[in-house]
Amino acid sequence: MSAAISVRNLFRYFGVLKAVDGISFDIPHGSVCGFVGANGAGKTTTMRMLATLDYPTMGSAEICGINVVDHPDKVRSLIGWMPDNFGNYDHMTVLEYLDFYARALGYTGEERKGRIEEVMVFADLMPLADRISNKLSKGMTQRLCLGRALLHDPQVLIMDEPAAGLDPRARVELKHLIRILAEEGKTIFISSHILSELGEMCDTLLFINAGRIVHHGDADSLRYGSDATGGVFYDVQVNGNPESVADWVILNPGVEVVETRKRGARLRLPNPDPARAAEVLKGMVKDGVPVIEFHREERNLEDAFIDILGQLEQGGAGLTAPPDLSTPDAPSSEQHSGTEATPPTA
Amino acid sequence: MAEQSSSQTPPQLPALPFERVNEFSDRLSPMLVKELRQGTRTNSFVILFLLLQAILTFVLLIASSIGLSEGRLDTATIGRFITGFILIIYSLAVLLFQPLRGISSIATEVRENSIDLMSLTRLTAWRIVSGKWLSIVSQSALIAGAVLPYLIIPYFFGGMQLLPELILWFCLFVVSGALTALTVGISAIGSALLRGLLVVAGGALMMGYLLFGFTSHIPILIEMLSFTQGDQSLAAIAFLVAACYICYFFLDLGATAIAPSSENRATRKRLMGLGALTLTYLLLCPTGGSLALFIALGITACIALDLFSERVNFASIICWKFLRFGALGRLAGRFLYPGWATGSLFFLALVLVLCLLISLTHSSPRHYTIALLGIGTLAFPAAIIQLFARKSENRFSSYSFILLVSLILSKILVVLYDNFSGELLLWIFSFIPMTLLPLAPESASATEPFPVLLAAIGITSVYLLVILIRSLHQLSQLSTLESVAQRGLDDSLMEAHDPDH
Repeated sequence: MSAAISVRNLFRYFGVLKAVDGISFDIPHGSVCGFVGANGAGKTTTMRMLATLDYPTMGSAEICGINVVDHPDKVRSLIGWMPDNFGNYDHMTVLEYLDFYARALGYTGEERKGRIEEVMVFADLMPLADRISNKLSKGMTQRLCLGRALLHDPQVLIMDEPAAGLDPRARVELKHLIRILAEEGKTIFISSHILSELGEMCDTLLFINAGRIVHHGDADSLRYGSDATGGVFYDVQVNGNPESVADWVILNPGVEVVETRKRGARLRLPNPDPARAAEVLKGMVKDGVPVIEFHREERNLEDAFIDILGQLEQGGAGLTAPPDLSTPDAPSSEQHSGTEATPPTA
Repeated sequence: MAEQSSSQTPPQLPALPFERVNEFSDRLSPMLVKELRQGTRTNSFVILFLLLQAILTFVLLIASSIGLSEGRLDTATIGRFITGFILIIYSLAVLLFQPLRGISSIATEVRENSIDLMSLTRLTAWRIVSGKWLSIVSQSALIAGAVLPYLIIPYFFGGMQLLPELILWFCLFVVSGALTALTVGISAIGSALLRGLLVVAGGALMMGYLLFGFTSHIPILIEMLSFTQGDQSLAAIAFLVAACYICYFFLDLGATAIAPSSENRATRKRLMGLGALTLTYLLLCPTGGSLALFIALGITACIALDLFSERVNFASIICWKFLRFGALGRLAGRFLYPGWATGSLFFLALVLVLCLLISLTHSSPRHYTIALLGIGTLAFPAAIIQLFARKSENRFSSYSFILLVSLILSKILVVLYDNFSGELLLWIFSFIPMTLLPLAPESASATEPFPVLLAAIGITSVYLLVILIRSLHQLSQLSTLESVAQRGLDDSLMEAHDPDH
């Protein structure tokens, strides 16, 4: 079965600016993928192309196997789009706002009432039914926007910075709603600056920088990330002399002491395989090192992101990306079929 | 989500007020329903509607009391005064205030990002724009309907031609629709400066005319609308055709601005323009060649406004329909593909059609001269843009602005010529061909060539040549685009025949 979202060598140029520079990734059905990057990294441009609101200069993007350029109408029935910034209408209540979009999506009569009622209950909009839509707080507005995006029960939700500008309570509410949607099996592609929140709710994270994907993996792979050569770090604490760890390492090649600490040491294992860590621990205990704590070092996601960007600046080593999805250095000659925008230029 | 909703529904919640959203409106366009809901609640409409009622009631009461009392004024005079006053007030509402409400309608949606949300639904660009227009026109219809009883009451005072006045009332409503289409269309495509200019200058001109010039024209219009002459019916039909075309043209102009680039809106727009031009010209011919020519030039101006300001880039999928017709389709594509490059060729074809129409009807140097002066004036801004502002982001605004300045300048020069007879001045500014209009042969029956005709041919040819030469590069690249489209078409046909391919 094809991925819910599949992107191959996608480029988007605005004049000489390479907003999206040959990205490729897959997001499986029913997963929540966080899309992370600095301002201007290419998040919104990518999401707009996936939402059929913009055209790729080159490359292809598919939603549930359907090309977004060739069949925008089919794709639109599959996606729900939540932009980062949008205006509501004056002189129009929340109920009327949803009613308009339900009509625009082709719902009539009882079916329309049913859809509106369902999303209003889901997004807790019932108490706001008679409120004017452009007089809502940011949190309420985002709930309304989520309700609108869910009106046609889309399989894939594309959310551009939905938590931006929300107070903590509204953020928790939104996170709760997203979790429920994920449990229902919807594929969610969400961008945010708040990495810790994304880490909690996302199955995978996709980092983009200067229009290129610099990491694609799960949050744990970032938290317990490896260094540039693939080595991983462990914190070892002992009951007694902290030098005992260093002494043990001298006798056991294949493990390095990075730093001796007050109650133990920070070790580096060249092999990230957990089985190798288990062997080291087993060896220490067997050789009489009084280990009371042995755990892999955990970074917060912001640090991980900064590390990845740092590695990029130092030459780009250590980037994690699915092995089959390369990001070329220059635009390839591959183009999507049929409807690419226009060779003739002024 | 269904499970979620059923488990979360609190029993104490009031039922949704669906009776407000589930009336007969299911049969109407969603855009119209939305716009009517919003539009009829805006202060501008409510205040305008109530104020209109108050003013008309007040004037009618005053006039009635004067009419009923023993006075020096006869009731027919009072009746004519009331009719004139009501028509002016009505015109101000539907020709000025209502159309101006459309000037930011699409621009606001674009600015607020809500146009993106709408385009993800089943609403097409045309339905969005036409829904906005129809909503304002519906509100104008409400105003027109509310004014109608006041217009009939003066009948009892006498001095009133009921039918012509009702036709005038309807004609004003039709013009209001066309003006609303203009503002709604320009709200999607024009720059903020152009829209500002339209509000300030257009609004001031219209208000000035309605307050000071319209009163004297009312008897003439009523006389015309009495249809005492046979050809006046044809003129009325031509008027309706022209108004419908203007509505369609400006709405489609707005729709093109917000439609995806894979949508071809140019071909139909051009063919409709050509059709409207031919039809109105032929309908107006019996009433006099000059009027037919001026209306035809007005329609040509609309077409040119679009032709010379279209984006040159378009998706290759647009070529598919043309490629299916082989070499003939490719040839038609050179005139009908979107973009100002093919637009230049289409403009040339339009010039030939207009000349053909003249030769078939009023083949005199005067008509050729007027036609060529008009075409040259329309080509002038396009040539300027091609020479000096080829990379202009908003060709529509640039073209409109240059054309507007040219027309104003030529008008000033004509006024100067009328007062001081400075023929040399007109020749100096003859690079704006319309300036030479006062020198055009007066007599429609004249047959010898005139220097103005020769100048018109020369200047217009130069402009057309400049436009065509500057479009050659883009025209030559159409073959490349057609090759890409042909591959896509072949793939699509192969896929249709063999899905496993």
